[in-house]
Amino acid sequence: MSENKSNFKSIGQPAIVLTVIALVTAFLLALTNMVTAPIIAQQGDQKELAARQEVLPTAATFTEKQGEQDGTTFDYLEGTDASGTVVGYIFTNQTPGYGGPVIVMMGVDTEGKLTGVQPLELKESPGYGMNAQEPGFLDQFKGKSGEIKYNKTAASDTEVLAISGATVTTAAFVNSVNAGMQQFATITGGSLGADPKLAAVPGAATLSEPVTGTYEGTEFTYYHAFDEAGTVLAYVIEAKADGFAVTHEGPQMTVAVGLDLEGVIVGSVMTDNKETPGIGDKVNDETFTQQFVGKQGEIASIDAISGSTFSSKGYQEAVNLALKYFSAVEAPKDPKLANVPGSSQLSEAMSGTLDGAAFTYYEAQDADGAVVGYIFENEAIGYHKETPFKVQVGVDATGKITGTTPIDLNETPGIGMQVGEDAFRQTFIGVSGDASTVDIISQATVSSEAYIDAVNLALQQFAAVSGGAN
Amino acid sequence: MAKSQTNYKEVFTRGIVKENPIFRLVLGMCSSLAMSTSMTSALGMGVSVIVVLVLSNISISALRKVIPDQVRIPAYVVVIAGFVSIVQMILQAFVPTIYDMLGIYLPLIVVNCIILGRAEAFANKNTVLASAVDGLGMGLGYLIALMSISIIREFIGNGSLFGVQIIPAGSITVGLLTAPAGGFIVLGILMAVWNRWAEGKGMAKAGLNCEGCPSVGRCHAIEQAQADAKKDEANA
Repeated sequence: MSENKSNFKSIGQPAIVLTVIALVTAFLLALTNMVTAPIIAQQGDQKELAARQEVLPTAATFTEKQGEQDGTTFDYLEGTDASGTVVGYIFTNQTPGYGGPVIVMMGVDTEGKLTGVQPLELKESPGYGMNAQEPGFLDQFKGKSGEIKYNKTAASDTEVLAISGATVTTAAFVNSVNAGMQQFATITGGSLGADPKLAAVPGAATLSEPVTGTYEGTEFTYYHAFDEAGTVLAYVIEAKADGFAVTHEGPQMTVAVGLDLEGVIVGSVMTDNKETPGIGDKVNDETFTQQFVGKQGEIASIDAISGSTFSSKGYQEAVNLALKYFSAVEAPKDPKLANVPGSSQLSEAMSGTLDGAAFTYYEAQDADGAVVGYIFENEAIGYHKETPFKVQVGVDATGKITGTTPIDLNETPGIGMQVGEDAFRQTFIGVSGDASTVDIISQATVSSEAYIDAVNLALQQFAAVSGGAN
Repeated sequence: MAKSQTNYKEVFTRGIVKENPIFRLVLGMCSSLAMSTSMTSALGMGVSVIVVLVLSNISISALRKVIPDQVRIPAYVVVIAGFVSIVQMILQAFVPTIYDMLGIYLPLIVVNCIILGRAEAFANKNTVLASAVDGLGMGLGYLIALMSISIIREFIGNGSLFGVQIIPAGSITVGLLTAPAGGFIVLGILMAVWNRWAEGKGMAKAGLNCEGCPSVGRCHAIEQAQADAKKDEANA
């Protein structure tokens, strides 16, 4: 046997044989794939459609949409019935459970009521967490709205009965559903489901738009919290720290801390759900958060929650950070002033008369107290006649509109609600005398016209006010 | 070995009792523990393994003269992975419920020791027919083992058989059996029963050394050791 021949036998031949076997196998796989691939694809579509119709039975077709919440986008589906009317939305969210992610698909009708929930992925313990796929558990969600809680002994209007022996799974499931509820609130204008940050300030009814502050080079976000009457109660400062759930993306635990105007803590709340359900998220229990209330400066020691040391420490760290940030927050401006750029303070309520009817308005003043504009607020009866909204209009001294804002807007999501979007609101800026020339939103004629009427009324009120002054 | 008349009955039954892959050879533990919580998934897993095992045994036996010794393991793995992928695609297309139930354990059949073990221990030195019979017997042994674990786990653990509720879950059922720990407990008890039965039939007692291994008769390492010993003797 020559040297060459033996080399071929020991190296060349095995390589060739292995290559041939691999090629034949690949060919057979390709053949099988050709037959099965279309069937598998079709099945996937059917399964998805079936799941969608299960959670939103009134919808016939679904359109993929994107929403934005706290700077991150999410996908959802808009369900329309045979006549093309929007009947609801489908959201899919996940939360870590006991054995893996708990992915929940849920349908919500236009009024915010759950029409159905289905787990898309559930890898929990058989006999315990897996019971979350049973109709007995899932059907409890139907008809509920707003934030859903769970209870270990009895169900109620806002609570579902937890699965016995599977608290972690129940909490994860409920958190996934609530994430969808939050997304629903976001896409419909935020009127449903209170902002979780509000829990940081007892008695607060609304929050301002987020304000960005800078503390020693670090940017942070804070809000002004208002009570029912619109008076500023406190600041809500968001701070982040490492909780138990540590990722490479940096601190993941966000705590919203409520601080009164002097910087004393009035309350705090963890606003994300990355901590372990049922364990780390106990930092939101009152017994824990009460420890911080009334304190200011720096908090040195707290009683950690047993079993949740990391979460407790992270929370404390975030609260201390918020206390530092406090030095960098700015005093709030009245939200009405947003419609008059350049203004920084508001006069007392003033009254005027137009065609014999009395109305209230405000003067917007700059830092020196000079009047730079006027603010009027008028009611508009839109498409939903039982829930009229208000339109706030800022007019400068020359009679030009400087800004408009709808208040308590509760029109049809996706249609009439568009009057609340910047695109429509800003078309009024610079208009004077009569705003009837503004383009109405197609398909939302009634809402648009109501809005325009309210703006026109404000312009007439301005004429009455400035005419009177002359 | 090839010259002598193959005893097909012996080849077939060997996998069921004497060399039962799970209870006697203790192979393929991962999938058998995970897939034995319900009888339906056990049946699906068992049948999938039989199909892959028979097909891979046949192909490897048919190719045993072609596959060079140096690359036999990669060649076996390619063949086995090919069949597993085919079974996977077919299940996904035509029996999606079983496909969903088996999850990750279906593709993991590729690295199931039983299949590679039979290719190495039997199919690469026996005829196609004998290998097919061996694959069927071993596969059946695996299926029977899986079914006997799952019948106990599903009935006592969840009160149902093939998903049909016989007694209400949670009444007198022991939920532990559906948990992984319960799988080990049931497996241990059944393994003891099987060993007792096999020993009663005059089989070697299971042990941790080579002599106690049920496959000792067809083990490469032993043959090699014996051949070496003979060589040494001759040299001496």
